[in-house]
Amino acid sequence: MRFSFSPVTNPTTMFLTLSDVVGLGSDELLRPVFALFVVSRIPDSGPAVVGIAMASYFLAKSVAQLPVAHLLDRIAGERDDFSALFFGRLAMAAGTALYLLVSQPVHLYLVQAFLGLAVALYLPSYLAIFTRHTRKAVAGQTWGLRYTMVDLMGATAAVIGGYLASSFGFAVLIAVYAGMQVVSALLVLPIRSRTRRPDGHRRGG
Amino acid sequence: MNAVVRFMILSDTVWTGALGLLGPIFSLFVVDFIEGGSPVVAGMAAAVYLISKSLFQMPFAHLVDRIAGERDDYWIMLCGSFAAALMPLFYLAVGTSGQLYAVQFAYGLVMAATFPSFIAIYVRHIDRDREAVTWGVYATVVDLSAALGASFGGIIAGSFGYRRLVVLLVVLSLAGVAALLPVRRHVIGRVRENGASAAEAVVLSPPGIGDSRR
Repeated sequence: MRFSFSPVTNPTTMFLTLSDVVGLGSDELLRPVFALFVVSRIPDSGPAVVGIAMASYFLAKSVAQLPVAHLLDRIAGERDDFSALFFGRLAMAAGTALYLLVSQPVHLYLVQAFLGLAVALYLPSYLAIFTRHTRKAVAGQTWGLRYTMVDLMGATAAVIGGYLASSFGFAVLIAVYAGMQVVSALLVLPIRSRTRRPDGHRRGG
Repeated sequence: MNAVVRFMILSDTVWTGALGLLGPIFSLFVVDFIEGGSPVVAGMAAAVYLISKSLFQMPFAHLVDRIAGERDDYWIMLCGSFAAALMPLFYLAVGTSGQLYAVQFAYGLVMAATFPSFIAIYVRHIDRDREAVTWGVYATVVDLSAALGASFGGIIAGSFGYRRLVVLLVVLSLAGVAALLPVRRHVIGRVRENGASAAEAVVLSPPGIGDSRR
């Protein structure tokens, strides 16, 4: 496979990549210290509450993602995928902000389930649009660029997240995290005009 | 689904469940058992793992591709998985943040070797025209297993302590690795010309797949 600038110059995959660099990368702000957040925020909680919180996230995600993927495939055109992507990302930002209101284990489980549903909305549509707009000849480089950038951002975010939590507290950390998710949602807006309408017409590549 | 795909999904399901026991509460473990453990140390530990894994992943993928056939993929996957399954035992021995970072670096290195070989074999053996369903089944059972692991991990850590949790995690991981043994009979000596290369498989596999090794 020859080196090509095409992964960088394809606006659709580039904006999707940037969106995930900001969105998925900033997941690492909270993920490594999530258990500490739970224990500090919810009185008398321990590892068991953290475990159930993660379980309710995975349960909601795994139950919802197949029906969502199936539905998106059935609806013609790409505009529905785009809406699922954008609103899924916004819902992830809203769910993250809801962490600030959590004070009981039940609140946490509900927020986690909500986040699981939001991810189930966002992930299949992201994969569908990304795959459709990647040129086969440079697919490896396009995905490779995305993984490398997301991983590097994740490593940086993990260090920053630990520092923010130690120095400024979890409220600041979560505010920054939710803000990053909003930016990530906004970063997919430029590709709307490049997604196919149900009648098959679209502008640009 | 064919035998290779079924055993590989089974393996990752068991392993993901095992990793789910400790993963979500890892930062509590860091604060309780590491000298000077804090959110900063937990964040650094995650970063060291991510950097070492992303640094070594592509070189390993190219190595797997350079050696012809699938046998080398299989043995790298099996030995790497075996080593990776044992890695959490080091958590029982670490006391300082420096030691923790060293373990995380080695862990990332081992995972960097297993992920490309696992995903390359998996992608080559997926039945044609059943790709979407196969990925969907994988994502769903692995997520359910992670949910199960997370809920039990928290309870076990709270009631029996982290030492027993880590031992259980290692035993379960080894069971997951054992599920890879039947795959050996099905690996092919020569890979078709149009078969997926490990390097391509790594970058082409959708996010969420093989996350336990990523």
